[in-house]
Amino acid sequence: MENVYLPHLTRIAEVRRETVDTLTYLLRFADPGVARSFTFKPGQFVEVSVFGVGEAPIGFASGPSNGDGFEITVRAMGSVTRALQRFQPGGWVGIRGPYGNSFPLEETRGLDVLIVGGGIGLPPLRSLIEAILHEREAFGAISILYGARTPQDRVYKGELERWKNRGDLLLLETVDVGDESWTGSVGVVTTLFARMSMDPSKTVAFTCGPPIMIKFVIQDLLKLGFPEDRIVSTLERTMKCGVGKCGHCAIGSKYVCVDGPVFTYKQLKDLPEPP
Amino acid sequence: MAATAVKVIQKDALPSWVATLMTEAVVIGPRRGPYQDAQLAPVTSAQQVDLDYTHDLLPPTRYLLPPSEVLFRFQFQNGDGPTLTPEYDERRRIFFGVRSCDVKALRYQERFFQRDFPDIYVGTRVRNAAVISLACTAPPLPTCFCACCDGGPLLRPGEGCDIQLIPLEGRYLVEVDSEAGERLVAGSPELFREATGADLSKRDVAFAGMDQRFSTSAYLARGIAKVTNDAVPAALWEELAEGCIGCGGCSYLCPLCTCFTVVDRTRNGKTGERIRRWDHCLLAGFTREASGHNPRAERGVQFKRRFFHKLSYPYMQREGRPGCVGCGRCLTACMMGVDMAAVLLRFRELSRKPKWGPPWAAKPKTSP
Repeated sequence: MENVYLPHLTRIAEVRRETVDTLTYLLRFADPGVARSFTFKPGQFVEVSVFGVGEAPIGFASGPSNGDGFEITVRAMGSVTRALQRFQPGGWVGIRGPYGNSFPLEETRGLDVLIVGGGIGLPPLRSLIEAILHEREAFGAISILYGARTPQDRVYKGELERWKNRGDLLLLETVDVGDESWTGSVGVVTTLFARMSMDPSKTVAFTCGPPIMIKFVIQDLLKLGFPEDRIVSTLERTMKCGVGKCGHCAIGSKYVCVDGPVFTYKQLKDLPEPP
Repeated sequence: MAATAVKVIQKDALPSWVATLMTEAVVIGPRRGPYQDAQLAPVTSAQQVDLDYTHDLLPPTRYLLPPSEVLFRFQFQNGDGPTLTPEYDERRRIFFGVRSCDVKALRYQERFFQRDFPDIYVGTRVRNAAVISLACTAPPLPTCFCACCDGGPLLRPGEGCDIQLIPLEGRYLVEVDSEAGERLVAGSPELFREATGADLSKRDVAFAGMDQRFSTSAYLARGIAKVTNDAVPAALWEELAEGCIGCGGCSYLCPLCTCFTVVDRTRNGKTGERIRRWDHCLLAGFTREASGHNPRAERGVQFKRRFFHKLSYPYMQREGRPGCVGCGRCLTACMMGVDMAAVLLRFRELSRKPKWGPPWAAKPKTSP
């Protein structure tokens, strides 16, 4: 019997700084057999081990077809994520997973895609964006809206620039509070809706970010006429096991780790507790 | 599997049987603790087993999911990746004289930990365990309410034991319910005889009128309906939860509670261990996130959560049965009187309270 609690060892191949408290790590499995058989889908997550400190659930930040390891983007928040900040290339990190369901990519084929991210909510959406761009022609118009607290809080600055210049998607950005260097929009991410056109009858909306942002994004999407099952979001809960056993992430009879973390608004609405 | 054989063992022959069982496994049986209370604990001498016990306050499920256990040890050596060494408990165990409610609980935990992502730690213990249960011909304690919860007092064939003992005068009826059970009896053939028609009729006499002997009633079906339909007013949850001091006694003693937390322990960062420990949903930090945000911060919603897990229909579908076997341990543990039976009684009063009518009609009755 497989031991679901025993992590696989990975080595940090690359560390990139995103913001003052957020780093992106490229991880590669030490065991070539594991590396070959490891596959995941955008929206899924891993339990990341810092041995001696503990584990934290982190979503995939890179597309599934990169092949050469995978990336996670981690903000220093709790004990594990703070400990990760000190890690350098070559550091050993334990990985369990992939866990959870994933973004409904198949169901989105042939439709327009609206992606609304806030702050550190962009990384799991980046995994989705990379998967979509990998077969760009399978999807209709793509719009990416990204909001951050300040210009310094933007993650993937280089990538945002590349997406902006691709020409086959729309990228709009805003910050809550600008500074002297910021020439773009200022305001919450929902203010960007007015600056674009979309057809809610043939669009799937994906949103990830702080709970308060998600709440307002969903409100606006409903007002714009999006069907409840075409609004896709993710939930976060404290979790220990990732496999539906420890009980921490349960909401009603759903477990965010197994039944989520991706939920449509239609599903969120029916949860017996407010998400 | 239907009971394959019904045999009889004399009461005074039990120690010989236990002694034989002890040669092949650790026997977890009811034995007197230092204060004469019975505990299901490893037996070191066959004479210790005392089947005239009432109930063990600590559920035997703690031998499947212990309060604390090492999942694996890690060790870093000279710049290499850490070596991870898991630890599995492969001791063979025979649970001897476990009450019906606890057998249901053991099977609940087995099912919970083995489905979807099988848990190898619990699974290893389950694989190496046999269960010899003891039916109750009278509720052992006034707090018992298994009859309301499909918990007991008697197990029917296929309900989870390998052998069921039924106490009759001076002897026990031995219902063998699995091949493992057959082997446990076959090891001491001289101690057993085939049951006669007279023995079997005594069995029926023993259980006649059993349902009337319970002094605690839990209105489980009504609780399931109320919780599933979210028909318990938030104000009642808050009122009940005000009594809860969050000590966790109910959860730590609940044989169906399975929640745990995981922590790492290390002295120098080079070697250490990952440990899992019991955790429970009434502790303030159970759902607190690294950011400090706690989606279930108030006691009322924590309390509601616990009862949703125990009583809601979606969970019954998920786990195959209600989340209570009626063992009554939370009634003993809860010093504030907000245990399962007390809460269910309040739900019952809630149902009886007329929505319209003169004020005197709205006064809840104090007894069922």
